[in-house]
Amino acid sequence: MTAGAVPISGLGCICAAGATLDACMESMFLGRRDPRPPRRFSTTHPLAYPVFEVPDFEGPPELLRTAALLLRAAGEALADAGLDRAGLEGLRVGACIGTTVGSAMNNEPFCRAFRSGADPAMEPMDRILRSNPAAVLARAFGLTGPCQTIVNACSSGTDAVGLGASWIQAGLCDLVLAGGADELGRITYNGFISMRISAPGPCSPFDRDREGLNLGEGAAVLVLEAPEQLRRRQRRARAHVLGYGSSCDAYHPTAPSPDGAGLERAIGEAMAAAGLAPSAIAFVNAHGTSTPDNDRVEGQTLARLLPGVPFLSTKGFTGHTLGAAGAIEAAFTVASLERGRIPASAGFRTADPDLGAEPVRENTPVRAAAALSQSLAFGGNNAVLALGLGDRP
Amino acid sequence: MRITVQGVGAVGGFGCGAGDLARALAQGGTPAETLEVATARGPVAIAALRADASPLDRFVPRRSQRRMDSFSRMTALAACLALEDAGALADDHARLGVVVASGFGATGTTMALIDSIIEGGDACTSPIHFAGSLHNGPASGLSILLGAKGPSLTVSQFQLSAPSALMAARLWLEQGRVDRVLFGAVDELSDLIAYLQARRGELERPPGPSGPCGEGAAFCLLSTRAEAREPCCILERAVTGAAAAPAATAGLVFLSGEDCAGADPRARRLTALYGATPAAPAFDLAAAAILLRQGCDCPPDFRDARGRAPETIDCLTLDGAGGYGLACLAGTGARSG
Repeated sequence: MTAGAVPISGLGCICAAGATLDACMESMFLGRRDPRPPRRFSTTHPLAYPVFEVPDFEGPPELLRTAALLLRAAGEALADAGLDRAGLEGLRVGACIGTTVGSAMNNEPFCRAFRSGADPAMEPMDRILRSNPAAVLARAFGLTGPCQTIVNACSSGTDAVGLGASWIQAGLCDLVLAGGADELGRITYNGFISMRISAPGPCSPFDRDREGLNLGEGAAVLVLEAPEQLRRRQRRARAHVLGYGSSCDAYHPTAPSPDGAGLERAIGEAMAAAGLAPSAIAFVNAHGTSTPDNDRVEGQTLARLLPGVPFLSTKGFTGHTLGAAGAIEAAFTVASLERGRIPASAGFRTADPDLGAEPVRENTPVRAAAALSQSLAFGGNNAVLALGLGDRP
Repeated sequence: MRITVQGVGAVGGFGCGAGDLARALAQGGTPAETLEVATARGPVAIAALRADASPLDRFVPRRSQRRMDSFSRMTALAACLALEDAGALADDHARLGVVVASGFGATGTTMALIDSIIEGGDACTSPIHFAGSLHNGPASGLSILLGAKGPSLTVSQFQLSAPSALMAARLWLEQGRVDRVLFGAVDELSDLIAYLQARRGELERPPGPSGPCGEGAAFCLLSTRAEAREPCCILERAVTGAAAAPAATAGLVFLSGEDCAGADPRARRLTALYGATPAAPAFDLAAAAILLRQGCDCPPDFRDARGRAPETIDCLTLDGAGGYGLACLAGTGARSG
């Protein structure tokens, strides 16, 4: 482990795969998934593109669902770390959260009324203005450290964990709540369909016949804690952020660079920061959206850089949770390392000869103590975390 | 580690470029226009300082601007101006990091996206407007325009977006991830934001302080390289938090964000130059860098009681709910390191 490794002392997650991290892991290892047409909103598309909604969850009406999901995940993560609001008092605690939808002034009914010449009630705008994800956490837990909402599209969650870790490394914080959150909504749903990258059926990452993504929603929070702070509390690290890398393709607004050079730079930076050789990587939790372009670039890059290293996409269980995805998948990566096995890559059936590699077909044992979790995003952003096991019994 | 501000670029109600911003600083303000906002109860007049991004033609062929919205055009223009000011426009930007802050993102394009749904139905959702509505679109556009393949980050924290993003830029440089960062902030006065301003009294927390509504973009090129060109100034500190804001120690303090009891009584607001906008802290930073640049003829209004030009300037942002951002700049002849 490198000197810059940042302990993870707690994890929390909520998504369609489960209401807690343990529930998610259990359902994934059982191979359960349940993409369905949206139930929380209606559309007029002739085809009902399936999504992964979080069932049986309602947040307080004064907050966006994104913020409510985040608060749920943060509560689980803090409890896992043995902390509560009182335990955070007097500490320099930051909030670094990724999102996409959760920060946009895009309330459709308000905008419809505004465009029609009416003066709609301002509550929807107030709700948006009080739901900035990082600010919500800071308010809910009385945090006094840096507060940052990252809006790097689909790599936001990974970037938030990586940048949150850098706050610990720089000595800016004793503790950081880092993660991501995003809710499903009509506008995003319509937007992805308009780009022709939504699948008409359940998604199948890395499969030869993949037809696109299924959207999802959820949140995950990682409690990052300075080593000395963890020692003061006489706690052990559940895992470590060993390294982080990011880059921009500088190629196209919505398509990844076909040569994977940007992703390669991000993987290289994360592995170098972690001091990891390819042989030390147990597995890669890939972005694996199930879109033709993403999976081709990602599969080919993994085949080239990390041949023989098992990889999977968990989006077949969760859908693409956008700004939350990187954080959710980082949590899954840690939980998989702890269990010494990874779930089968849901939806994968037929190898794509164009990729040169295929994800795991079955629940698969893994042995090494470190893994990568990576995200690619619109705008050409690539972000990679190197995560390692901790010493918590 | 010494982090220098090598160049600044800005477009806003005052005009375009460091020269126009310096002139506005000397004049103490910019005449605002009156914008009539339609509401159900009749038109409401608001004072506004609008930005004109048409000088982007100098840097980007018009043909290439066809799919750029106003938000992205302001971003690209201010960023190119900052690089030009630093003498770095033609450099290889492969290791350049890009950090962009925005309080609300491209609200004009977001409204256009929703309009496409309202007018044509769900099946007619505009894919171009959907992609353009993503907050990180302008940063991505900059990276493509410049060939910047370093890390790219977009931050949205309302009033504290720019201070928060600046902290990230500073960390990247300190940690050696990159040796140059193009940092900036952008916000636009779209129909929606103008409407919210017209009804600001009905909002629980209005988006920004009172005063003429502003829009535009301001960028700085930050560097840890041994640059050939003399820097504007040194970025000594960039912090954010929600505890008591650190006391400003500089000879001159610029304040943006909310009006708060307890704000430094010496603090000066530059709202009259570029309006009230979440991007204001980045404009303050650009203005401070201009005033600290060697050879700048500092306007009398910014000199101390003895007529001396400031050697240090602090840019303080308050969000009205306890959050703060503080950036400390020093001239190259003053504090260093």
